[in-house]
Amino acid sequence: MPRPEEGLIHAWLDGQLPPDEAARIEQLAATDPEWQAAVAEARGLIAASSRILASLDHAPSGVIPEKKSVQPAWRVPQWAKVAAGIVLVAGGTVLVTQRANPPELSTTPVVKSTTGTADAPTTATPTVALISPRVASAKKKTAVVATPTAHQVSDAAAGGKEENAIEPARAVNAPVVEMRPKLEVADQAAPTAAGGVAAMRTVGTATLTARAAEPAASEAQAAPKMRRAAPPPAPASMKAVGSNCFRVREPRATADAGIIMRLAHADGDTLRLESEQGTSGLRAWIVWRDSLGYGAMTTTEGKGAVAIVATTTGCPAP
Amino acid sequence: MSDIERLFATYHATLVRYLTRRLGDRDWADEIAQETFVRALREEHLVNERAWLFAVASNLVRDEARKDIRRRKHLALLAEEHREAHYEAPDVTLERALAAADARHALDALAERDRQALLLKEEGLEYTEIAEILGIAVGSVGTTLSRARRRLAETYEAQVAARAERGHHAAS
Repeated sequence: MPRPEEGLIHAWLDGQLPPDEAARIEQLAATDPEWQAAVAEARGLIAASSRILASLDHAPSGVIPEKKSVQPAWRVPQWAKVAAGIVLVAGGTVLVTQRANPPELSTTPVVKSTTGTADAPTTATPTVALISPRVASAKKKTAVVATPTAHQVSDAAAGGKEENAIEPARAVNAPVVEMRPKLEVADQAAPTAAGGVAAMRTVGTATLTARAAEPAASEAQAAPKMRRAAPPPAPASMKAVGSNCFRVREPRATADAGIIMRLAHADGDTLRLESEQGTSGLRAWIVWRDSLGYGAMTTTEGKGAVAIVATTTGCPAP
Repeated sequence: MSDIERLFATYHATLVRYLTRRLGDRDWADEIAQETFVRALREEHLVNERAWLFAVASNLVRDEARKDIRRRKHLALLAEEHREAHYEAPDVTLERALAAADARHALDALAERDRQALLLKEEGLEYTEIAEILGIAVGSVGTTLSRARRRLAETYEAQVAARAERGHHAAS
């Protein structure tokens, strides 16, 4: 009797053997206990594989949310925007009349500076004078997402499909860049009419100077203006969280359900968690508010997403 | 019914399922499937249409540039979503997500050829078609599949057991 050949048995069970070969295997499986055991094991493996793979069919679609318009943490009243507009015009007029070289001022630097996008980086220097560090950070992140690497560009050139894949990222992120600098200008100009004039004068000066022939001088002038912008909110202290381990569960689950995850990274009150011991291939992002974390969990490849809540817990013994 | 309509009606569901299992992302699977059928439209004659469709889809999956772009966009949007804290709980239980993560881990542990052979067989492709797509001898498909099935099952069971063990430690 030949020893059982696993590949042959799987081919037989899959119905892929020619009739004479299939008859031979069938005969062996009916008479030889060793072949019977091998066939039974192969049947089990085939069934288990199908069952395991079927669990991958629940990959959700539409987990990527539609981009919502970004709401700033603060709101500028409508009257302040109107006032800022008036001040902008007045300030610009004063500057124009004071400048000795009218041709340099005939362009519209302020408008260009406030509408710069990731796709139009040529106005980058004047924009620095207008936006707060927070906005600059947002703009930088957007540029990273929207700007393809040289490798991607070559791929895009090779086939139009890759180019299409890049475009949605630009479209999604563009409003973030366009919106915030405009509001920042209004914010700086809003407090009082006099303060607004001063603010816009400094903004206008920085902007117009940046367009002149000495970029180094414009940066030196712009730097103090950046300090006038509202500082970003202070990040929550991680000491307040109190633990490096979290019990992560679905919102509807009981408090003792779920799994234990360990803190991997903290950025202000946004925490990234990884599955304990790093072997089950899960990670989560949560926002920490009032002793509770809210967020989502995905596989380590970023696939799938489950809404979760998290509470601190003791770390298991290593 | 035109040829492309017939192709679509016959193979779209299985192709999307194959791609979903391969990628773990239904949206991405739909995109690749659509691109595959678009390419089929350009072909005047397909000798073995099922093998051709699955081969083209497999090649598209291997396009790492697309994968990178997609992942980066996906992660950026996920991060943005979490910051905004506007969540709509998807209709997926935590247990199901864990089972899917274990299955994904086990599938990713396979060699590329074994993984592809397994997924293609699950969609009902014949050994001759799998051999054609993978560029291997028909006679070695059975061995490839038996190895893939065993490794998948063993890795999955080990993953589940390890998670249960961790849960036990955490509870005690």
